[in-house]
Amino acid sequence: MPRSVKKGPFIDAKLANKVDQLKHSGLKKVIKTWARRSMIPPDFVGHTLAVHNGKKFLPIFITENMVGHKLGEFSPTRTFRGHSGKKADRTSKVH
Amino acid sequence: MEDANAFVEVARVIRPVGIKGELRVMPYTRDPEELGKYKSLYFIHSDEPPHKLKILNIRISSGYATIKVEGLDSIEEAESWRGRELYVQRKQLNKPPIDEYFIRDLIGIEVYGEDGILIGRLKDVMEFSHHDIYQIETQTGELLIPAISDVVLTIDLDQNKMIVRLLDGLQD
Repeated sequence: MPRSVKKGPFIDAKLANKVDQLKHSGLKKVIKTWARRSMIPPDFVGHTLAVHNGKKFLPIFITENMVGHKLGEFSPTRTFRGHSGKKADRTSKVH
Repeated sequence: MEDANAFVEVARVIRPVGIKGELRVMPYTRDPEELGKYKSLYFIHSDEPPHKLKILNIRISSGYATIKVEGLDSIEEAESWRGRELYVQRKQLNKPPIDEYFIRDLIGIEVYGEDGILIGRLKDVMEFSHHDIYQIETQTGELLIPAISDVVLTIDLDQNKMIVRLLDGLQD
Protein backbone atom coordinates (compact mmCIF):
# COMPACT_ATOMS: atom_id res chain seq x y z
CA MET A 1 0.00 0.00 0.00
CA PRO A 2 1.45 3.42 -0.90
CA ARG A 3 2.07 6.09 1.68
CA SER A 4 -0.91 8.29 2.48
CA VAL A 5 -0.94 11.53 0.48
CA LYS A 6 -2.25 13.32 3.55
CA LYS A 7 1.02 12.71 5.41
CA GLY A 8 3.18 14.07 2.61
CA PRO A 9 6.56 12.53 1.69
CA PHE A 10 8.89 11.22 4.38
CA ILE A 11 11.98 13.37 4.67
CA ASP A 12 14.41 12.67 7.48
CA ALA A 13 14.11 15.72 9.73
CA LYS A 14 17.68 15.62 11.06
CA LEU A 15 19.09 15.37 7.56
CA ALA A 16 16.85 18.15 6.29
CA ASN A 17 18.07 20.36 9.15
CA LYS A 18 21.70 19.64 8.35
CA VAL A 19 21.19 20.46 4.67
CA ASP A 20 19.35 23.62 5.65
CA GLN A 21 22.20 24.75 7.90
CA LEU A 22 24.71 24.01 5.15
CA LYS A 23 22.65 25.98 2.67
CA HIS A 24 22.66 29.03 4.92
CA SER A 25 26.36 28.78 5.73
CA GLY A 26 27.26 28.50 2.03
CA LEU A 27 29.88 25.83 2.78
CA LYS A 28 30.47 22.79 0.60
CA LYS A 29 30.50 19.76 2.83
CA VAL A 30 29.60 16.10 2.55
CA ILE A 31 26.88 14.98 4.98
CA LYS A 32 26.95 11.39 6.13
CA THR A 33 23.57 9.74 6.45
CA TRP A 34 21.97 6.40 7.12
CA ALA A 35 18.54 7.72 6.14
CA ARG A 36 18.14 5.67 2.99
CA ARG A 37 14.36 5.80 3.30
CA SER A 38 14.29 9.58 3.12
CA MET A 39 12.84 11.11 -0.02
CA ILE A 40 14.96 13.72 -1.82
CA PRO A 41 13.30 17.15 -1.69
CA PRO A 42 14.31 19.96 -4.09
CA ASP A 43 16.30 21.59 -1.24
CA PHE A 44 18.90 18.82 -1.41
CA VAL A 45 19.85 19.56 -5.03
CA GLY A 46 23.49 20.57 -5.41
CA HIS A 47 24.61 18.99 -2.14
CA THR A 48 26.70 15.85 -1.75
CA LEU A 49 25.39 13.25 0.68
CA ALA A 50 27.33 10.16 1.72
CA VAL A 51 24.62 7.50 1.86
CA HIS A 52 25.36 4.32 3.78
CA ASN A 53 24.87 1.07 1.87
CA GLY A 54 25.37 -1.23 4.85
CA LYS A 55 29.15 -1.23 4.48
CA LYS A 56 30.35 2.08 3.09
CA PHE A 57 29.14 5.62 2.66
CA LEU A 58 28.79 6.29 -1.07
CA PRO A 59 29.13 9.99 -1.91
CA ILE A 60 26.12 10.99 -4.01
CA PHE A 61 25.86 14.37 -5.66
CA ILE A 62 22.16 15.28 -5.71
CA THR A 63 20.78 16.53 -9.01
CA GLU A 64 17.31 17.65 -10.07
CA ASN A 65 16.56 14.30 -11.66
CA MET A 66 16.83 12.62 -8.25
CA VAL A 67 14.10 14.72 -6.61
CA GLY A 68 11.19 12.52 -5.49
CA HIS A 69 13.34 9.38 -5.30
CA LYS A 70 14.64 7.85 -2.07
CA LEU A 71 18.30 8.25 -1.10
CA GLY A 72 18.74 4.47 -0.88
CA GLU A 73 18.04 4.09 -4.59
CA PHE A 74 21.40 5.67 -5.34
CA SER A 75 23.48 3.64 -2.91
CA PRO A 76 23.04 -0.02 -3.90
CA THR A 77 23.58 -2.63 -1.23
CA ARG A 78 24.59 -5.32 -3.68
CA THR A 79 27.16 -5.03 -6.44
CA PHE A 80 26.99 -7.11 -9.59
CA ARG A 81 30.43 -7.00 -11.10
CA GLY A 82 29.47 -8.77 -14.33
CA HIS A 83 30.75 -11.99 -15.75
CA SER A 84 33.84 -10.50 -17.30
CA GLY A 85 36.22 -8.34 -15.36
CA LYS A 86 37.54 -6.66 -18.50
CA LYS A 87 36.14 -3.36 -19.60
CA ALA A 88 37.38 -2.85 -23.14
CA ASP A 89 35.58 0.33 -24.12
CA ARG A 90 33.87 1.34 -20.88
CA THR A 91 34.22 5.01 -20.13
CA SER A 92 33.74 7.18 -17.08
CA LYS A 93 32.39 10.71 -17.34
CA VAL A 94 33.18 13.52 -14.92
CA HIS A 95 29.84 15.32 -14.52
CA MET B 1 57.03 -6.74 -30.84
CA GLU B 2 54.69 -3.78 -30.95
CA ASP B 3 53.82 -1.92 -27.77
CA ALA B 4 51.44 -4.04 -25.68
CA ASN B 5 49.41 -0.91 -24.87
CA ALA B 6 48.68 -0.52 -28.55
CA PHE B 7 46.21 -3.40 -28.26
CA VAL B 8 43.08 -3.78 -26.18
CA GLU B 9 41.30 -7.03 -25.30
CA VAL B 10 37.80 -7.02 -26.75
CA ALA B 11 36.66 -10.63 -26.46
CA ARG B 12 37.46 -14.10 -25.14
CA VAL B 13 36.88 -17.34 -27.00
CA ILE B 14 34.41 -19.51 -25.10
CA ARG B 15 34.16 -22.61 -27.29
CA PRO B 16 33.98 -23.83 -30.88
CA VAL B 17 30.60 -23.81 -32.64
CA GLY B 18 29.75 -26.44 -35.25
CA ILE B 19 32.32 -28.36 -37.25
CA LYS B 20 33.50 -25.62 -39.61
CA GLY B 21 35.76 -23.81 -37.18
CA GLU B 22 33.41 -21.10 -35.95
CA LEU B 23 34.07 -19.66 -32.49
CA ARG B 24 31.68 -18.50 -29.78
CA VAL B 25 33.23 -15.44 -28.14
CA MET B 26 32.29 -13.29 -25.16
CA PRO B 27 32.63 -9.61 -26.03
CA TYR B 28 34.15 -7.31 -23.41
CA THR B 29 32.65 -4.27 -25.11
CA ARG B 30 29.76 -2.39 -23.50
CA ASP B 31 27.55 -3.24 -26.47
CA PRO B 32 28.18 -6.72 -27.97
CA GLU B 33 27.17 -5.33 -31.38
CA GLU B 34 30.31 -3.15 -31.25
CA LEU B 35 32.39 -6.23 -31.95
CA GLY B 36 30.73 -6.50 -35.36
CA LYS B 37 32.27 -3.24 -36.58
CA TYR B 38 35.83 -4.59 -36.49
CA LYS B 39 37.00 -6.14 -39.75
CA SER B 40 39.91 -7.87 -38.07
CA LEU B 41 40.96 -8.95 -34.62
CA TYR B 42 44.39 -9.82 -33.24
CA PHE B 43 45.69 -12.72 -31.24
CA ILE B 44 48.76 -12.07 -29.11
CA HIS B 45 50.87 -14.92 -27.86
CA SER B 46 53.60 -13.94 -25.37
CA ASP B 47 56.63 -12.59 -27.27
CA GLU B 48 55.44 -13.33 -30.77
CA PRO B 49 54.22 -10.48 -32.96
CA PRO B 50 50.42 -10.00 -32.95
CA HIS B 51 48.67 -12.33 -35.34
CA LYS B 52 45.98 -10.68 -37.43
CA LEU B 53 42.71 -12.56 -37.86
CA LYS B 54 40.41 -11.57 -40.69
CA ILE B 55 36.74 -11.88 -39.72
CA LEU B 56 34.71 -13.50 -42.47
CA ASN B 57 31.39 -13.59 -40.65
CA ILE B 58 30.00 -12.51 -37.29
CA ARG B 59 26.62 -13.15 -35.64
CA ILE B 60 25.53 -11.64 -32.34
CA SER B 61 22.95 -13.32 -30.14
CA SER B 62 22.18 -13.23 -26.41
CA GLY B 63 25.19 -11.07 -25.65
CA TYR B 64 27.64 -13.48 -27.30
CA ALA B 65 29.14 -13.43 -30.77
CA THR B 66 29.80 -16.30 -33.15
CA ILE B 67 32.67 -15.49 -35.47
CA LYS B 68 34.25 -17.18 -38.45
CA VAL B 69 37.87 -16.21 -39.01
CA GLU B 70 40.02 -16.82 -42.08
CA GLY B 71 42.19 -19.93 -41.92
CA LEU B 72 40.22 -21.70 -39.20
CA ASP B 73 38.19 -24.39 -40.90
CA SER B 74 37.81 -27.34 -38.56
CA ILE B 75 36.49 -28.03 -35.09
CA GLU B 76 39.87 -29.51 -34.09
CA GLU B 77 41.68 -26.26 -34.88
CA ALA B 78 38.92 -24.23 -33.25
CA GLU B 79 39.16 -26.35 -30.08
CA SER B 80 42.70 -25.09 -29.46
CA TRP B 81 41.38 -21.51 -29.40
CA ARG B 82 39.33 -22.06 -26.26
CA GLY B 83 40.06 -19.38 -23.63
CA ARG B 84 42.19 -17.19 -25.92
CA GLU B 85 41.72 -13.47 -25.78
CA LEU B 86 41.19 -11.44 -28.90
CA TYR B 87 42.43 -7.89 -29.30
CA VAL B 88 41.93 -4.85 -31.49
CA GLN B 89 44.34 -2.03 -32.08
CA ARG B 90 43.77 0.74 -29.59
CA LYS B 91 43.42 3.27 -32.40
CA GLN B 92 40.42 1.29 -33.70
CA LEU B 93 38.42 2.14 -30.56
CA ASN B 94 36.21 5.23 -30.75
CA LYS B 95 37.70 8.19 -28.88
CA PRO B 96 35.63 9.08 -25.81
CA PRO B 97 34.02 12.54 -25.73
CA ILE B 98 35.47 15.44 -23.68
CA ASP B 99 35.43 14.80 -19.91
CA GLU B 100 35.03 11.08 -20.54
CA TYR B 101 37.88 8.63 -20.08
CA PHE B 102 38.41 4.94 -20.68
CA ILE B 103 38.14 3.19 -17.31
CA ARG B 104 41.16 1.05 -18.22
CA ASP B 105 43.21 4.28 -18.49
CA LEU B 106 41.97 5.62 -15.18
CA ILE B 107 42.73 2.55 -13.11
CA GLY B 108 46.14 2.95 -11.50
CA ILE B 109 46.28 6.72 -12.01
CA GLU B 110 47.91 8.71 -9.19
CA VAL B 111 45.52 10.95 -7.29
CA TYR B 112 46.80 14.22 -5.86
CA GLY B 113 45.13 16.85 -3.72
CA GLU B 114 44.95 20.50 -4.71
CA ASP B 115 48.05 21.10 -2.59
CA GLY B 116 50.03 18.60 -4.67
CA ILE B 117 50.18 15.94 -1.96
CA LEU B 118 49.74 12.38 -3.16
CA ILE B 119 46.49 10.90 -1.83
CA GLY B 120 46.68 7.48 -3.40
CA ARG B 121 45.97 5.48 -6.53
CA LEU B 122 42.67 4.94 -8.30
CA LYS B 123 41.81 1.31 -7.67
CA ASP B 124 38.41 0.93 -9.33
CA VAL B 125 35.50 2.80 -10.81
CA MET B 126 32.01 2.08 -9.48
CA GLU B 127 29.64 2.73 -12.37
CA PHE B 128 26.24 4.21 -11.60
CA SER B 129 23.57 5.87 -13.70
CA HIS B 130 23.77 9.16 -11.77
CA HIS B 131 27.56 9.54 -11.66
CA ASP B 132 30.50 7.24 -11.19
CA ILE B 133 32.34 6.85 -7.90
CA TYR B 134 36.12 6.49 -7.86
CA GLN B 135 37.63 4.12 -5.36
CA ILE B 136 41.03 5.40 -4.27
CA GLU B 137 43.49 3.26 -2.41
CA THR B 138 45.27 5.37 0.18
CA GLN B 139 47.90 4.47 2.76
CA THR B 140 45.27 4.41 5.48
CA GLY B 141 42.57 2.54 3.58
CA GLU B 142 40.05 3.40 0.94
CA LEU B 143 38.55 6.69 -0.13
CA LEU B 144 35.44 7.10 -2.28
CA ILE B 145 35.02 10.24 -4.33
CA PRO B 146 32.18 11.17 -6.69
CA ALA B 147 33.13 11.78 -10.32
CA ILE B 148 31.85 15.35 -10.38
CA SER B 149 33.61 18.48 -11.52
CA ASP B 150 33.49 19.99 -7.99
CA VAL B 151 35.72 17.17 -6.78
CA VAL B 152 37.67 15.89 -9.79
CA LEU B 153 39.47 19.00 -11.03
CA THR B 154 41.77 17.65 -13.73
CA ILE B 155 42.75 14.33 -15.22
CA ASP B 156 46.03 14.18 -17.11
CA LEU B 157 46.47 10.75 -18.64
CA ASP B 158 49.84 11.62 -20.16
CA GLN B 159 51.26 12.37 -16.71
CA ASN B 160 49.16 9.63 -15.09
CA LYS B 161 47.82 12.21 -12.65
CA MET B 162 44.42 13.22 -11.32
CA ILE B 163 43.94 16.30 -9.16
CA VAL B 164 41.01 16.32 -6.76
CA ARG B 165 39.50 18.74 -4.26
CA LEU B 166 38.44 16.81 -1.19
CA LEU B 167 35.26 18.33 0.20
CA ASP B 168 34.90 18.44 3.99
CA GLY B 169 33.52 15.17 5.25
CA LEU B 170 34.67 13.10 2.29
CA GLN B 171 37.59 11.60 4.17
CA ASP B 172 35.66 10.78 7.37
